[in-house]
Parts: sequence; C-alpha cells; structure tokens
Amino acid sequence: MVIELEGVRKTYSGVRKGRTRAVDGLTLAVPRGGVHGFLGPNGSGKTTTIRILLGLVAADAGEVRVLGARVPDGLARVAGSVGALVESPQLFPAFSGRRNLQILATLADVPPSRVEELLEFVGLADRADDRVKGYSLGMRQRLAIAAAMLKSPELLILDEPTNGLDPAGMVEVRELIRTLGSDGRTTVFLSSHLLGEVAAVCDAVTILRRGRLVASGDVGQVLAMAGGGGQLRVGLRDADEAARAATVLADRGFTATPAPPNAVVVAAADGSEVNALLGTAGIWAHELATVRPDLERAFLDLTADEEAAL
Amino acid sequence: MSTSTGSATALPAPRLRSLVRSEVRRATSRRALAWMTALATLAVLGVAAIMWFTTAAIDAGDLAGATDRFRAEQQQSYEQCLADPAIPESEKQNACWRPTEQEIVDNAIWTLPKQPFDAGTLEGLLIFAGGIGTLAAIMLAASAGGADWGARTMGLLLSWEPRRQRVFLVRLVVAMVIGTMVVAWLAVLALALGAAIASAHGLAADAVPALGAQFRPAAMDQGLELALRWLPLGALAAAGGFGVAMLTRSTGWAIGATIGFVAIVETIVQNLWAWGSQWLMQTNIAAWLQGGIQWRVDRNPVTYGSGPVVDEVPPGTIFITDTRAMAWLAGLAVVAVLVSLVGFLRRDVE
Repeated sequence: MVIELEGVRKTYSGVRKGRTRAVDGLTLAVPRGGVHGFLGPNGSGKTTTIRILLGLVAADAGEVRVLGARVPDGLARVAGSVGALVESPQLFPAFSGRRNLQILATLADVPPSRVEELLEFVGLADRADDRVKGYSLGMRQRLAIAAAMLKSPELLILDEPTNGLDPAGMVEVRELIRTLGSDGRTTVFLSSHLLGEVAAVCDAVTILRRGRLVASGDVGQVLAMAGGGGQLRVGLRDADEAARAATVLADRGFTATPAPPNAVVVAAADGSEVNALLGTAGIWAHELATVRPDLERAFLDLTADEEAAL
Repeated sequence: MSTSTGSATALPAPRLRSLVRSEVRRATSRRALAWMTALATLAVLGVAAIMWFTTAAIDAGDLAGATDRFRAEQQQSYEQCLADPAIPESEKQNACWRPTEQEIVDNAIWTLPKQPFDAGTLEGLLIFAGGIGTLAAIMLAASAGGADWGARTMGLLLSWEPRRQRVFLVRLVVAMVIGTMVVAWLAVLALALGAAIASAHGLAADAVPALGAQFRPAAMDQGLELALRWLPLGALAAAGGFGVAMLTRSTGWAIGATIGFVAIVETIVQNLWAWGSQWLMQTNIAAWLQGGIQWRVDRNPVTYGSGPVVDEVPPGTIFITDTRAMAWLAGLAVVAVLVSLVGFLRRDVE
C-alpha cells in the first residue's frame, strides 16, 4: 500500500467557528499503481487528509503511513519519493519559475537538466525567467505540477491539479496523470471536485463525507455500491405504454420511474422478472438494459446527506 | 505539455548539505537582501559624505591662528565683563572668567569653522553603520522567516524536507550568517571610509601633539574593536527577527513587534522602573558596545507624573559589564528562538 490511514481523526478548534471535526475516524488504503481518486463535497476533509499525509497537519488520533513509512516520524525517509501539489499552487512568488525549480532541485540533488526538461514539458520554457507573481493561475498550476514531478515520485499527490487550466491544459494534465498512473511505478492520488475528471482518469476512488469514508474501491465497485440493487431501463413502444408499464410495475411493488419519451427505469436487478410481469400485462419491451450509474450520480447519492445539510 | 515526463529513480531523503545549499541559494536570490544592503550602504556613504564635508584637515598654522584669535576673544570678553557696570564689583571676580593658557590651547580648535575628523567622529560613523546594519539584519531575517508564511510556501518546503527541526535550524543559521555579513560589510565600509577621511581630514600627530593621539594607532584600533563588537549583535538581531517571524508567521508582525517593543515597551520601562533599565535591550547593547557601562540610580521613590509611587528603588550604582550584557542579549535571542522552534514543531502548517 502506498497510503494507509487507520482511524485518523482531526479536529480544528477556533474562537469563531468553535470545534470542527475535519476528519472523523478515516480508514483508507491505497494500493500501489494506478490513479486513485479522492472525492468529497467542500469541507469533507480531503485537503486536511492530504495535509496529514504530508505531515503538515498532525492527526489527533490514528495511524498514517505513506509508502510504508509512519507519518510524521518516518516521512523524511520517503519524502524523496513523494511529490505533492496541495490546494492552490504554493511557489516562491518573488523568484522566477526556473529559480523556483532550481531551488527545489538543489534541495533534493535533482540534476539541473531535469528542471529544463520539466519547464519544457509544462510549456513554461518561454516564461521561465519571469517572476512567478506575474504568472496566471494556470501558469502557476503548471509550474506547481512541474515542481511535484521534479522528484520523479513514486507517489504523486495532486489536489485539484487542473484548477485554472484552460480546456487544452486540462486534457493534457489528465493525459499526464493517466500516463503516470499506468507506468507501473507511480501511484497518483488525485483529489478533485471535477467528477468527470475522476471518472476519466481514475482506476479507483474514495468518497468522503464529513470526514468519513462512505465508499472506496474500484470505480466499478463504487458505482455498483451507489446503484443499490441495480436499475433497469425498459424501452417501450410509446409514452402511453411506458406510463401503463410504470403503473403495472408499481402495483407489484417496484419503484418505477418514467423516463421520457418512451421508457421506464425500474429499481430491479433481475430483468427476466420485470419482462415476465410486463408480458403478462400484454406489454412488450423493445429494450431491456442495465442502467450503469455514472460517478456523478454515485457521488450525489453517497453524499446525499451532506448535500441536504448544505 | 507534450514531452516525456522523465523516469528518474526515486530520490533519497534530502541531505543536510543540500538543504543548506538550497537555503543559501534562496536567501541570496532574494531581492530584499540586495535592496536592503544597497540602501544601508548608501546611508553609510551618505553619512560619511556629510562627515567629509563637515570636517577639514588642520595644521599647526591653523591651530596657532585659532589659538591667537580665541585668546584675543577671551581677553576681550574678560575685559568687557570687568568694565560692565551692571555687575557689582564684589562679584566680578566670580562672574568674569579668564581661561588659562592651557584652556585656550585646548579649546581653540573648536573655534575653527571645521574640525578635524577624530576618534569620536569615527565612533559615530561606526555606531551608525552598525546600527543600520543590525536593523537590516532584523528586517532581512524577519522577512526570510515570514515570507514563507505570507506566500504559503512553507508547505511546499516541508513537503520536500519534512524534518522541521532541521529546516528551522538551517534557515536560522543562514539568516544569522547573512545578518552578520551585512553588518560586517557595513562595518568594514565604515572603517574604510573613516580611515580615508581620517587620512585626509584627521589630525596629524606632528601638527597637534595634544590631539594627535586620537588617531593611529589607538583610534583605528578602537574603531576596529567597535566594528567587531557589532558582529555578534548582527547575528543575534537576525536570530531574534527570524524567531519572532516564525512564531508570528508574519514579517510585518515580527518587524512591528520588535520595533514596538524597543520603542514603546522599553521606553515605558525606562521611565517607570529605573532599576529595571539594566535589563533593557538598548541598555545592554550600549553596555556591550562600550565595553561595560555604569550609572547611578537616584530616583527614590520613583513616581510617574503626579501619580502614586510605582517603584521603591534604593539609590545605588548599576554596573553592567560587556560580558553580562552579551550574555543577557544572547539569552533573549535564545528564548525567542526556542519558543519559536517549539511552535514550529507543534503547530499545523496550513
């Protein structure tokens, strides 16, 4: 496992806001390799968790391990193998982009050629000598990604890496994440609020709600978990027949929802039972398909309480 | 973003040497260092220029002429006093003063429009240079400590080197070395400028034997000693500035708190608690620079305005040796650094 959290808790205390439990008994294990998405509504504890992983914030309770090293005591041993981009890009604003990377490269004995390679890679070679405070958010984001990659990390922790990027940049970063995740050596831990992004690049996903884990596993598993017993889409001849089918199914205790123009979505795992029922009523299905919930639906379902509370 | 991402092997934990190199590189790249050093250098050059234009070389002829003029002026004043009908005859012996010949020789030099550059002027130049250097050391160190919090780059730094104690100590040492170097540069500059002005405008031993001893070798030796005494102050100032900045996590707060403490708190203590003045930073800095100081406390009881008695100090003499002064100042810096270090180790980095 590259990341292991067990019963991690973190509470913030403030004069104005009082006590806020940011992470509440979180247990999570991220296996080596691939891209692991980290989802949750605002304030669900994603960034706090990432800060705990990096030793920036101390957990009140629980065990944290990164690449097998206990955090924070053993973190120094593996710091050279962990790259991170946390929240907004954190860079030395008074220095140029090149100088930023050079300083970090000096810290980790990274060869200077790697700096130039990454500047080229993130498309900042032309602006490398400009001060970072003059960069746009997207440029800072690119530089921060370059900084995180400078170490060629085994574990790359990215918190909202496509923030501020233009659509083309987003696609490129996603491709990069995908490439890194499939190189067999790098594990990408990707925190994002963009569900499409997570769905597009992640092999596995963890969903948080109020600092607690609500789902974790392969994307398929999580989708199945969100989908409950499964759903079927029944295609019919026209809208009238769809309405009649919904009534028949509802009478038999199924949750059936019309799906205009001429279909019904039924909460059921067994298609043959639904088909038989409709046939008995003289309704013949043109189509019977399993509905695969998308990640957005899963996310909304799994965090429904949170959304309602908001 | 269109080329390969590279595939270097994972790196080991950062080495101490690499951290030092990185911090030195970062510190010396800061524009604040260049700007502040340049401004302080200009200030010292400016004061030296003023000293150049307000002093002049004199020779035996100048001094003899001044002595004659001074003697004549004093004689004329004395005679006018004696002839003054407003002064009763019985009081004229006390009221009318006539300097002795030795007093005339000793004081004649001060009647010249420009005095030579002497040991006292050199000391003034060195105190200015050291003072401004120490101030620069505080500001640079506070800025170095506070910048990472202001720009939120402490997280970036710690994600590369998570050993906070090591990060803190390396940054502290770099700040202290830079603070010391800035003070050293300004002290060397002041000494060089002082020597140059002295060689042109200083007293020549053969011209004015009575005052010539104020220069070479004694005056320059004293100047060098004073310059050297500024160096540890520069290091301690940097340590204090860095410590407060890391504690408050803000450059502005650190500089404001330091200046506010010296300008306000110390002034209040000085006025309200005479005996406590011996523990003030200003007093101890003066004691260190002067090789020890002593003064008599005779305000007993001490009141503030028409208010109640705020202190019951027995009159007495306070004596602060330079060693005690330095130990006290170093102790203050160590406390500031330790409190700051504990805070840095324990508090979360947001």
